[in-house]
Amino acid sequence: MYGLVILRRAAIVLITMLVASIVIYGALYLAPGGPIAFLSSGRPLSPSALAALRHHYHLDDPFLQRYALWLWGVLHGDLGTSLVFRQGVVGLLGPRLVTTAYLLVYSGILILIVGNALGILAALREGVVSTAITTTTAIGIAVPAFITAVVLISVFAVNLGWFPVTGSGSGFFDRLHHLTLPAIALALPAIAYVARLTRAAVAEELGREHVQAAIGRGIPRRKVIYRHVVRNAMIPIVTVSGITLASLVAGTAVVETAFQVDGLGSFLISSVTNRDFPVVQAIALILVTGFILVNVIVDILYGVLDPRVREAV
Amino acid sequence: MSGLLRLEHLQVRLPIDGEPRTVVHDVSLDVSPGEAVAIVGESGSGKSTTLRAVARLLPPGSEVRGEVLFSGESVTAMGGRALRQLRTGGIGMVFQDARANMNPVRRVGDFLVEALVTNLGQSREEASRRVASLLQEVGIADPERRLRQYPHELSGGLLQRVMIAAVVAMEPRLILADEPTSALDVTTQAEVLALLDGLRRSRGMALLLVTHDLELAAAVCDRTAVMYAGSLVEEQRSALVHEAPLHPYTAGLIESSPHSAHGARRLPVIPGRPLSGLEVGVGCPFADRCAHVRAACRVATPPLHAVGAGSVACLRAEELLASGLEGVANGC
Amino acid sequence: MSVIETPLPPHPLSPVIRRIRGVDLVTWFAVVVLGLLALIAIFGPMLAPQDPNATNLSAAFQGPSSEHLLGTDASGRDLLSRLLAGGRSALLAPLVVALAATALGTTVAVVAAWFGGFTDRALARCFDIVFGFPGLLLAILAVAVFGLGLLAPVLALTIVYVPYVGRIVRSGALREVSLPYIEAAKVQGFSGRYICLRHLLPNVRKLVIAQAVLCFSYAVVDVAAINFLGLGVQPPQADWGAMVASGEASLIRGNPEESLYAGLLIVLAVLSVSLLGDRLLRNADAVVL
Repeated sequence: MYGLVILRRAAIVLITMLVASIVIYGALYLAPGGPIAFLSSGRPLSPSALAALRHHYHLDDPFLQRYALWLWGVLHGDLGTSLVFRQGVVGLLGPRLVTTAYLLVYSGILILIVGNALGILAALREGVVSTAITTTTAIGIAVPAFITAVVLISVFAVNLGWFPVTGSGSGFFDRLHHLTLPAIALALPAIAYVARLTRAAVAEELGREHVQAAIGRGIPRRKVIYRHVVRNAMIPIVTVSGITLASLVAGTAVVETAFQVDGLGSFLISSVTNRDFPVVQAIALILVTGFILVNVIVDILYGVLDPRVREAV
Repeated sequence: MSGLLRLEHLQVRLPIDGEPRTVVHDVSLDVSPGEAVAIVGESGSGKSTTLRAVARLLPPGSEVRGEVLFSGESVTAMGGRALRQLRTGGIGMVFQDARANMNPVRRVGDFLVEALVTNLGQSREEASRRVASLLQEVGIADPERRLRQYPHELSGGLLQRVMIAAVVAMEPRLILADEPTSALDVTTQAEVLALLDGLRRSRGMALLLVTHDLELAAAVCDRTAVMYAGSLVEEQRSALVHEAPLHPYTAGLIESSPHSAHGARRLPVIPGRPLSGLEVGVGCPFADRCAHVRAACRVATPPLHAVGAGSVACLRAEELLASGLEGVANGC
Repeated sequence: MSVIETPLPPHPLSPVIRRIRGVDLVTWFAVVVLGLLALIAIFGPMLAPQDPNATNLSAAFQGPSSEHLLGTDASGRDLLSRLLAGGRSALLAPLVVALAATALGTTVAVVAAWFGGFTDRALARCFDIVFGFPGLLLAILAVAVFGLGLLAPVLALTIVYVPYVGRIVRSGALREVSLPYIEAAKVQGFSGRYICLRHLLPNVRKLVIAQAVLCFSYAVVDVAAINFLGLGVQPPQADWGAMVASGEASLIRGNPEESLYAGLLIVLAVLSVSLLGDRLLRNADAVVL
């Protein structure tokens, strides 16, 4: 029974990915000018040179055939060749993917720990603590990551010199050092958002009758909070945290550009500016895949945490 | 008198729109060990608030005056540890809506053993065996399966049985029951109530039952206390309440109840609308609706005083009792 | 006799909230800031004391002076003039996004709620699919397809924000449709269009306005990010988001003014708009189904 559910879920994911890949490939196929505009750099080409180029890049083949060719390549680990660098996209993306994954995991951990801790604290400690957290997070949400980035660079890198201004470093600890400010910049708005929603979720659970009933049964307050309040609030918190983590995928582009970190995000931006289509397609595909996967994980966790949902599926 | 629970001039103020307002004005009541006492009243009479004050389950910002004594100890003065002890072995509470009072994402078994493991220090296996046999005792077949299920998989009647089992498992000396059956359908109501009554009798537990139903109170409880607008207006043996009500309000309740054997063509109604504790001014709170009102009734709130075997808060109680009190019938 | 008194928990913002004419201070702050920013967006370019694009390399990185009230940037351009000129793209583009997404989202939501059944399920499913997709990512991809400039991001962001309005307005409209007065209007023979325009829409208008304002605040962030990334407005045109980026070079040399001033204006805009949106939403007592 549960196996069937998983199969159905997997099928939906596959179909979504397929649709996403068609949209990504198709959108760039439709782009005015297409790769020719880049390859010719705006210079007029002789008809024979043009024809040769078109033939080389399979531009005259029908759409579906070209898509199938591309997809076939993708499935075999061939993401095409960069128009700008004239080398395989896979080789270009490899090290950058590692950097971006590092950054994402780093800020993801910050968000989950700090965001949830602040939210729970704000819900449980009425008064000064709660007011301070609520006010700070209200402002935190309104500060975009790239502005946090320039402030962090100005204060901690330029003036205090604690962290490097740019770059992504090599090796685990050097990377940690280089990516700390970017991870914070990426995480801050999300921390504020998660903290607010966590606060709301915990406060709502606190007011529930079964929580009062548990206190009435003489269960110590700490146990009630841990077992009934926080445990139940985890259900909405996981959803919110998941959506937030998924949206970080786009945030990496901004933060990596601000800190001149050579990752997938900043590479996407430079490739968009250079109209390096194969690279844009590949990165878009990777980011959308990541986005979909995070959502699937959230869905599964949701079922694990809430028996009522498990039943309904 | 060796009272188990003693309320002395209990007054409760609850925060309503941020302002503390008096919901319970004056309640004095005794419950002896093993005795069953009912508090009967309409919604807004403060009966549930009184019950929650006994368990110290009032919302933050509430103020309690007067005294709540549980086997001689002041509940209102209890600190964290003493309070937990009170809730562990002293009192157990059965709520109206069992579903809302159980954590929806934890198994029924977790709910049942939680207090046994946390507060009585029993092992999980020991506690599980104990609650399984208790579930059988409260009439739930296949307890092993039920323990593994979640609350949403059980019916309201079953959940209330589970709730009762959870309370009885802790062997409290006093069970507080807040409208335990009014969320259930009529046939289940009787079963669940009979169950609760049987279990507590066999174990010698006292019961303080809050309900709006005089008949039900009389069926289960030795004594009945009637509350109106935040004050106790009458208290006597349940058997006598029907035959010789002391307060005009009680008399009115009996006559307007569909169970009453008067055979009237039309059910009489108490004129006016029930007051809540919030709206009370000086004088008898029932004065405006009372067929026997005199000017003196509006001057001061009548104190609860002994009449016969019970007590009543009515200035004219003796006089009316002598002439055979009829509540509203002469008003209709 | 004993008394237990637990003090009432104070309102989280009680020391801050002072009411003026029944409106709390935070809302006043938001409205005033928003008004000032709107003035900049409309009249800013005319108020600029100097040509915002006039470069003068010999006057680069100057501090505040009588000639340049806020100093100059790396190319010696007057910062005050650039800040005044840069509000238009930073605020008007998001405004277009918010208005378009609200119009589209409300229409679709009311149509879905009115027809119900399959139409409703299909449209709601569409909302769910688009909802939550990062707007910025779609805007970046749109630039990849259609080229640099604000047109493509504005279109992409509009599409992404349609469900933000649509989902919440749909739930409000569904609640409204289930009320007996709508049935009564149908029985009286009014057309669906008439009932929707005359009854449904006015009754969900608070929700619509609140969501539109919130969308505006999200769009300000996203548009600023697009301009920061250099995918939107192109140099030498002044824009707050772009100025945060162009100021980074001087910031690393220890002159953070350009980035910080532009960033501050963006933060003020987002903060005031989102505060206003939150309050409007609370006022509309939204229930999301």
